Amino acid sequence: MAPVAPGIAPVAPGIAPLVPGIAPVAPAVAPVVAPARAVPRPAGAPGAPPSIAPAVAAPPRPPGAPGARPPQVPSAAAAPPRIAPGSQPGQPSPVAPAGPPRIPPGSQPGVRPAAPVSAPKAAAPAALGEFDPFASGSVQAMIGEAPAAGAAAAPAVPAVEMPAPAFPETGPIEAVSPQQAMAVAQILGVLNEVDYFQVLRVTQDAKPADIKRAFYRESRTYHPDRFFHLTEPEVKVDIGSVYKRITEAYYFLKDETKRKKYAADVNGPDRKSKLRFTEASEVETKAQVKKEQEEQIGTHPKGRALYATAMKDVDAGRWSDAQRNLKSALMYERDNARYKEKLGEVEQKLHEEFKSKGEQFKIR
Amino acid sequence: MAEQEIAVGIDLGTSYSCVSVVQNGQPMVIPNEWGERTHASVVSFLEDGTVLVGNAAKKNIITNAENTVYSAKRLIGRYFFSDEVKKAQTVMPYKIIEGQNNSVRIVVRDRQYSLPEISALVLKEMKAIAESFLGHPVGKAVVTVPAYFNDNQRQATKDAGRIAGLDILRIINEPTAAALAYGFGRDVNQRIVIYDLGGGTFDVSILEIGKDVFEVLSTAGDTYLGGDDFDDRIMNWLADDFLARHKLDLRQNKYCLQMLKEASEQAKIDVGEKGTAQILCQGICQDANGQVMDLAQTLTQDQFNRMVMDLVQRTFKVCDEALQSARMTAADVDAVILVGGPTRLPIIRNSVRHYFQREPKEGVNPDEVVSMGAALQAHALMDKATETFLVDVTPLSLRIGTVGGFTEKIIDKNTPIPIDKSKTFTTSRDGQDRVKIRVYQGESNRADDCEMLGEFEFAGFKIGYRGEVKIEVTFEIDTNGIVNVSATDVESGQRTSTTISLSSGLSEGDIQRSIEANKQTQVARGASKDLPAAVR
Repeated sequence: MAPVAPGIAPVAPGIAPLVPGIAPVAPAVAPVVAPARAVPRPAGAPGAPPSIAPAVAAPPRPPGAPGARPPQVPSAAAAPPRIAPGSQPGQPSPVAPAGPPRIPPGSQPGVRPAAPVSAPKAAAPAALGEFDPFASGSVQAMIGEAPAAGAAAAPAVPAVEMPAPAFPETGPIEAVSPQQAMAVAQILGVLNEVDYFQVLRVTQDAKPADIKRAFYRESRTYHPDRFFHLTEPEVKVDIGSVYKRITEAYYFLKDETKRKKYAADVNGPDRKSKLRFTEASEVETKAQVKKEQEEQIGTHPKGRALYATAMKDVDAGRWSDAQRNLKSALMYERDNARYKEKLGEVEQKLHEEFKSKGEQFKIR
Repeated sequence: MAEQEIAVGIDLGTSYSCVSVVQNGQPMVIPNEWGERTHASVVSFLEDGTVLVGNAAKKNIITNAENTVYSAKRLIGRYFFSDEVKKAQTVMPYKIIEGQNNSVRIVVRDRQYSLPEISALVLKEMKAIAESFLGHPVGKAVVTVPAYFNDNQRQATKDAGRIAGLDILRIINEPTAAALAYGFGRDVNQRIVIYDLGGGTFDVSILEIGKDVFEVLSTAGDTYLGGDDFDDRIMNWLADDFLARHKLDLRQNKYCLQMLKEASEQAKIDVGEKGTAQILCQGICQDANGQVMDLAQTLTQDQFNRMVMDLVQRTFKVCDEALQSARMTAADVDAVILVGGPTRLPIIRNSVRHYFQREPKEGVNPDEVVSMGAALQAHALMDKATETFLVDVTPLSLRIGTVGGFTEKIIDKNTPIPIDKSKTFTTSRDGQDRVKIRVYQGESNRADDCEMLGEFEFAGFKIGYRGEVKIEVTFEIDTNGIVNVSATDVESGQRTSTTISLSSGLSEGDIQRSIEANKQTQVARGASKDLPAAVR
């Protein structure tokens, strides 16, 4: 096979470049802009699509937009950070991408604008303002160490909410009204800022059955077949895009392992860049599964064999044999948590035995 | 009926095709004027320049072998260098040559035809059957393809529809269509398996069907396995036997081969129905002395079962795969539905019963259910108040080629469609003005073992230093299971132009030319008075 012509080079630090030719950009690792969205929006306008904000505060060199899809609306990442009402006037957001010099180095906890904002949703951000993990975080942000800044602000809460459904779940669709078209556009606008749980309108701990039910509900609402007879191509394309995200959300959430990983990701510091399940996360998930399996039994065949013998010893109550075998197993796999834990148990048992034996000889 | 346009459902099969329509809310098969409900997917080019399609054309496989094309579906959307094409070249009486860009062309009466053009003639016949039955023009259709068809094959089928003058509303998967027809009007909540053994392909799909949502959980298949392969086994057995007795190899002669093939197919059907088959081919060939010889044999059920056992077992490997993808076991299945003519064979029914530990559903016509499902889908698409929604999956992983002959997965198989996924690429040289991406489908990380869908070249983005330009490429699989690729310059948000050099697909110009040629082609009518002939 001829090499892929003029060639496409890797941008991503994350994924090992396979060749000079092609390599993926780790989608969406764009720390420079990430914090911009971390500022929670005012609770008053939860549904307003960020698209409305003109992309003025474009950072000097916009990196791969986090959402990673041709934005129909200017990417939110480029939107100017909004300072929540109630934050101190004149105090620029510490997480503004381009604003380092303006922020006084002494920026104290408490003045962090994000914190006092009336939270749009649960997980009280107020608590975060109390003790001060942000002092260093925001300073770092100012120096430009963006990831840390993201880490500081992001866990707050999903800042963007999913707008209300654009269509009723049942009933014939005669035509799409301008309001409905607007509602679809609104959903499309926030699509790159909501997580899969929001897309499917389920809670993060939803059971597979709930997820399936939710997917069916969303399918009834947005399935392209429902709108097939319509003649307006734009609306159909928009609805199609919404539905594509719904199937994507369903595909990842219906898998328990992926759902757990994803939930951890979107609640974590890099929420912004993890809203779409990327190849990187997929690789991590696979590694996670493998690790779990290996931890259960071990990575080295001899380690596993010794561990198995040790387990037999434990069952038979031969504690010192078990201890010896586990120690040998640990020689092969020094970091195996399971072996260590078992060894701890066995040694505890040995210790107890020793103590009780000692008691026998005690002169009362 | 006049105000609402009617859309039909067409099952474009390897050996037989079938057309259905929904009338008064019920799907029904449209018979031709001779009352035939299924029509051989055979196109016979007659001397006067007209073509004969359907069961009448099938008789010409022997008498007019060189000019009669059958089993075109086995070749559609394939590259000239694929094994299937190699095999076809040795067994098919018609001439297969290589066209532009590794494509396959068929030469009949000194004219080259692409595979979509051949299939278009079959579709045209289906359209004609529907039109003469309904009494008004039919312009829209849903056409089915095997679930395991790759993008090239789907695209080619869609092209065939366009060439035939049909607006293809949707390409749907055959097993999914069958499930639709099965679930129609039954308010059930079941997990069903569709075991679809057709003339040339085998598919298994596992679906969860409810009142309104039909969700495909997984699909697996083999596009090189079908009833034809069963015939081949009988054929080889007959030929070997004849060779041993008379020192004459019937396979050397394409005319003998056609007689043998026909006899084998009949034998397979007889064995299925009666338990034994009497095979008699009179005057199949002449020996060195010019003496005309006959071939007479008896095939018993046992012999037949032994011949095809490995083929049957191969289908269950595919079933294993589908069950595993759906994370189910055979015990979780609520119903098994058999689709395709060969599933009438007792050996298939028994094996299926044994594998799933349950009786396959009776009362489903294995030849017609797919086209009925397609008609239901066509009706649902035209309906404003549609209440059945199909959620299908992509059967094959979508990959992009990386240097060194490897590929990297973009979209996994059994992902629900429609779906899209983006990946960002950058340039590797300063001032580079175009990037090229190769897209593959398949389950191997070696490019050689995957099917190449095409090469996409992007240009028109801002030119800059290497690594500075970022091009976001979006891979989309639409509801037809067809792959679309588009690219955007991340920085400017500008959509970049794409040129696709599909290796075997038809260009827009080719299609337009074919549409014209198809209009010109007269479908023969009453070519011979005593045969059920095609209607225009």
